[in-house]
Amino acid sequence: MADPTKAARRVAALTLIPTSVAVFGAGLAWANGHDPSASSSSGSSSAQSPDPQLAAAQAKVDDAQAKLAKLQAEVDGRSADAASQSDSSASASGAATSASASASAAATTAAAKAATQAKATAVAKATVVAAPVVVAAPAPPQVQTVTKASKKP
Amino acid sequence: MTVSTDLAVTFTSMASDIEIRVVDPAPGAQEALDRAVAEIDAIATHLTRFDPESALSRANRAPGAWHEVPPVLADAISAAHAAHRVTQGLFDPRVGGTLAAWGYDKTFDRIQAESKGSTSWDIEIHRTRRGAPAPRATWEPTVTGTVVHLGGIPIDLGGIGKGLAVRHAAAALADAGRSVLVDAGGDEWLAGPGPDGGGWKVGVEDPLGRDEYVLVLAVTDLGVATSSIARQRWTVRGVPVHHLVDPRTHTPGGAGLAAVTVLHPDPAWAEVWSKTLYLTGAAEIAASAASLDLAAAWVTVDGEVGTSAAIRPFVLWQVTR
Repeated sequence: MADPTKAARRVAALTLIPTSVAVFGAGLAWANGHDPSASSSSGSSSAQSPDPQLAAAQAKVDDAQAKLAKLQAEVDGRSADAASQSDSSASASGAATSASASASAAATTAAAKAATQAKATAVAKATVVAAPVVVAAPAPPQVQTVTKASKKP
Repeated sequence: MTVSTDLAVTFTSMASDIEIRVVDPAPGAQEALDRAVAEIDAIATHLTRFDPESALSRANRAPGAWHEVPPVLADAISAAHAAHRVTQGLFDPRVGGTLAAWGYDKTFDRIQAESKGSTSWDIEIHRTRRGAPAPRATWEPTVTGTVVHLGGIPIDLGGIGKGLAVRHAAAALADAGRSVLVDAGGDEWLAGPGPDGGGWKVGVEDPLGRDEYVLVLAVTDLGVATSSIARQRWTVRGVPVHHLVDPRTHTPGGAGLAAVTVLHPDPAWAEVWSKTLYLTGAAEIAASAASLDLAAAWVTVDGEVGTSAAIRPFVLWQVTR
């Protein structure tokens, strides 16, 4: 059996949804029409004060740049690993150094850490490559006859 | 018998696969090859102790009597006597009696067939030696032309027979071509630079079967012989024996050795020395080979490969273990 009170609350809640959407849409329209980098021709103090939304966007940009730098450092580190597998330890170290330079350019701690890891990996792999290789004994030359145990003395 | 167009012949004799090959044959090479085959057949016919009607078997039945024998047998007895003297008795054709007592009085193929093809087997002992072996006097046969006296004891020329066969065949083929190979189942004569120059490339079989070869030699104008217990081993009432009998003890000789290979200008002496060095055993073979200045290589029962200084210039390759 339906509860008339509960049904009334449900209708009221449903009417609030388009209202919230309308408010949100209006906010978006305002943000789209507002140029955060535009300076006020009047030079009013209100233009000097930080815009909260601009600050939030800038924070997002900074965060994205940090992530990009971190990803770039990781890419450079993997490139260094690949170089160390085909080149000598010296070239591998150079690749690691290159990775480290890229990370520095990105100016992020994550990049430096990734480069360090890449260098360590490159050195480790270079060590494996430099390990002694077991050389197989040469095969006997082709023979034309064989001296062997006889069937009968 | 099969004959190929490149003047080579293969056949079976002395219970071995025989191969004769002439590289760049000269005029008359075919006749020389035929003579070589006849020489080998003569040795096989007259020197075998497994055919009761052979010249050797007839002489052995009355070793204290005089016998008129074919020249090839008289020559073989003289050669065996020389080997006996030079090796100070270590080469002794009289060990055939010990082998017979161990059941080796028929061809080895027959022994294997009767033992159902196994590589180690028990045999029926027809005669069993009892007690300690009596000291033996030096073997003193007498050979006057083709009349011989064995010295009172039956003999076995198996220790030199194939070497003599190769020696006679090599003599028949002296001018047959640029290079000549005579292979009598491991006892060989290798003349000339070989098919490719630089000497015949000779693989020395691994007696333990772990590798195909233990050595590869480059040989020119030399005989090669190998004495090995790789195949001719059996047991007598549970006691392992082999065909290389030490005449000093009448027991299987060559303690610690599996095989010995010797290079020598005479194929018969290559065979004599390979057997004699084998009997010295693993502990003494290096010193013996050095003192005799023999070109020798050996393999111990543990698989170690040894070489004398005289053979090293011939070694092209040696197995790594």
